[in-house]
Amino acid sequence: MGEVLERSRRKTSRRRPRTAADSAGLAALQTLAESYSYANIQREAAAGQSVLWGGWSWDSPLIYACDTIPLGYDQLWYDDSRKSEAIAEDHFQVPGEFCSMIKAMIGRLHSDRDNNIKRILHFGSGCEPISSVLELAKRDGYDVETLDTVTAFRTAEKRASGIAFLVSELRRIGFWLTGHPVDEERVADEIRRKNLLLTKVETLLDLRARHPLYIPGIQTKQIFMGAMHMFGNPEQFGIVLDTLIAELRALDRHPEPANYIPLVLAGSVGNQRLFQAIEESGGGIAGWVYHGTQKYDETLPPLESLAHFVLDAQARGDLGEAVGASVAYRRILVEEEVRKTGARGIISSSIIGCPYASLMQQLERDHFSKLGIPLIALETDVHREPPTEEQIMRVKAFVEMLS
Amino acid sequence: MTNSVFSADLLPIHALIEAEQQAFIADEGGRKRAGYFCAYTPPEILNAAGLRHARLFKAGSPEIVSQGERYTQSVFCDFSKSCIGAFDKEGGDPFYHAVDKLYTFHTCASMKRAAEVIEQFVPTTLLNLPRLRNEAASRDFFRSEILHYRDDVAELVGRAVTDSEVSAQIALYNKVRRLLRDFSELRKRPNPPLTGLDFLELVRGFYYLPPATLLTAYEKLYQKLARTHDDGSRPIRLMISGSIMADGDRRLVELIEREIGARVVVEDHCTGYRPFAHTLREDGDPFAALADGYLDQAPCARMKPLDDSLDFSTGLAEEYGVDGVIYVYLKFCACYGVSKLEFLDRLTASGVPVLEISSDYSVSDIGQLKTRVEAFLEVLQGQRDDRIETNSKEHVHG
Ligand code: SF4
Ligand code: SF4
Repeated sequence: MGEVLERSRRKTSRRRPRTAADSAGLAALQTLAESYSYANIQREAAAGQSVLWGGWSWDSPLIYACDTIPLGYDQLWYDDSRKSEAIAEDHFQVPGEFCSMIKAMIGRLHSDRDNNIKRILHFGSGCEPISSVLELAKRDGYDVETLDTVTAFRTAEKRASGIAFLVSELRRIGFWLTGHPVDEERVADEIRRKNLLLTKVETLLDLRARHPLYIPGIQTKQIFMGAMHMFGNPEQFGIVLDTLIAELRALDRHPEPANYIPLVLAGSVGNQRLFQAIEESGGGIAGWVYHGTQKYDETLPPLESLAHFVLDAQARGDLGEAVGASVAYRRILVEEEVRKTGARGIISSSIIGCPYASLMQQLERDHFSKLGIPLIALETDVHREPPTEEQIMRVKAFVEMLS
Repeated sequence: MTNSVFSADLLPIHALIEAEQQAFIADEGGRKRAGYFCAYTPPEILNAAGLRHARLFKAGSPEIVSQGERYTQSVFCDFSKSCIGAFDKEGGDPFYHAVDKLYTFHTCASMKRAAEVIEQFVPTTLLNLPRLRNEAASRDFFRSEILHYRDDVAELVGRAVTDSEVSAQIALYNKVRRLLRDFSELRKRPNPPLTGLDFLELVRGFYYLPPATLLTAYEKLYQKLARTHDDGSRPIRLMISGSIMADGDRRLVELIEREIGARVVVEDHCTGYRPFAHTLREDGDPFAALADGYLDQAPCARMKPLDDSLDFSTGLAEEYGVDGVIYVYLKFCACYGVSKLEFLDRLTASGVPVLEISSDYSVSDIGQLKTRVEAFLEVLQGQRDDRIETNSKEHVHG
């Protein structure tokens, strides 16, 4: 795989790929993303690899330093999500009003209760539905460990006691995973490695802002996810990023007129068809507020660095509800992206039934209507079926309106 | 007697609460006014600083809910929507508008988000509340958050809040908590001298009245009720368990007690008996005592492990000899909605029948609610009759 990429990288430096279809980087990203599937990692777990659900976000350097592969919760609804949702409602009697995300999670954990991935890491600052649903998972023999709740409500309120507590919590989790104190030097190595990747992601996003159609939305989302969990294979992810950066640089050398309407996407769109609808109607997602590309502070002791990273993200409104991000401040990040990219409109996306995202959308709606920047709020679920015609029409009408 | 929902004996206490609320709004005495939402907020600190203070759980009206929906849309529980709606400057509730400072802990994610909206309307301090009840590090962290809370309160009143002041308040509040437990003990009698609605009014007093005022009024009432003779009737005994029950959300208890004639003899929720089940340590470091005491109190389902909440719930049902439990969760309350099966299964396994109700503050479903509660109570009555028959047969044969 590495060799194939090397060859294609050499090619990209000579020949500029005209469309995404020619992109060796995107093909490699696809292969990498497929390798990080639940089915594959489950096989690795069966062969003795330490794997856990969760720990894929700000905390991934700790998890990798414990020789463990963090598996993103999103894999729980990647397949069979309808069936899983039905299990949640019938077997666990999760009331209908809750989001499809937690239902798919608990349903899938239940159907897979006999497989080898039995540990779940949970951060107490995240949303209540996840916290509660994981209590139900204990019934099926899952070993659920909670990193206790620490939240910085504003940047100025990042209190020393909160940092110290989070550090002790991270130590406890390290012990839980390995049975001995975590090797902090290894955490520092993992932080450095992740920072390198985040720098690459940042470069890539800056370049992509000028060619938003070259790396389509769905693949950009994969890159954001990779920036957190690195697909269980940081080296390979680095190679993919280098390849894509080279391709985008090549495009940059021969700029073409921007024939799209620049947009900012806040949050994630779960469904590929919606991304296509945006792009088919002439929209290009030039700016994206999703998981950020902030770096860890390498001058701090490593566990402290992780603690600062997450508390800063909460106060900034970054990294989403999984870390208990503030709903009041994400709009600042969105506004920055709008200014940076010259976007003409904002697509703010959330999961149906998610109280936190819905509140954030409402605050963003009010804020941007005052600023006169058009915003459309989308709500989707975690299922993979195509979105409704009505949703597609709304997106298309929005983009057309901006043109 | 007025058309109030509690017994005549409670009228003087009700009057005190009303007067206190008016004084709060009118800013009588010019003391700063603090509000808080959750039973995990120690009022000891507020009282030690000489603040006028109240727990803000005045909710239940659909109008205030729709006021809150201007910000949240529909996917929040009606309680959190009401908290926002009541603070909203256009409309809202004058009692909430009178609050100078709001203290709120990051309890559930909805209430944290509600606070992020509310801070547009009133100065707000958000604090951390750990989830893990049994970890020493979590307790230390909670203690440091309480110290931060104390410092913030000291800044509000413009003077230091001393350790001895806090210790004195712990002792004072312990007295009040004990007294409320004593009231609740009376409900263990076959025919309790106070109704569930009466007890909820006493709890309301706990959250609105200064403890010194409360003690004088409550002690007198307690003596009176303790002397009441049992008239021999044996109402069906119920426990209500689940989400927070706002002080304006009395329709279920009214239905049970005033229309159907059963009795709520204990509550496993944070605006009923639950916050009074625990006594705080009175010696040593007062902040460690607060941290331990509030984490050790009978737990909300938001805390971990959930087993502690389940154990408490089943233990309480047994202790009060209830015939059945009504488990009520507010729509969109994840703590009690998502976890409901755990409660239902555990209570049922302990031999207590449970009726589950998903609730909000709308008035449209009252007819259906009545039918379901009546049907449940008929079953309980039937079971009780069977038990009496079996017992008497055993008695004859024995
Ligand atoms: S973050 Fe929102 S969508 Fe996701 S599990 Fe929590 S409530 Fe559901
Ligand atoms: S339900 Fe729990 S979190 Fe909510 S107010 Fe009551 S004790 Fe606090």
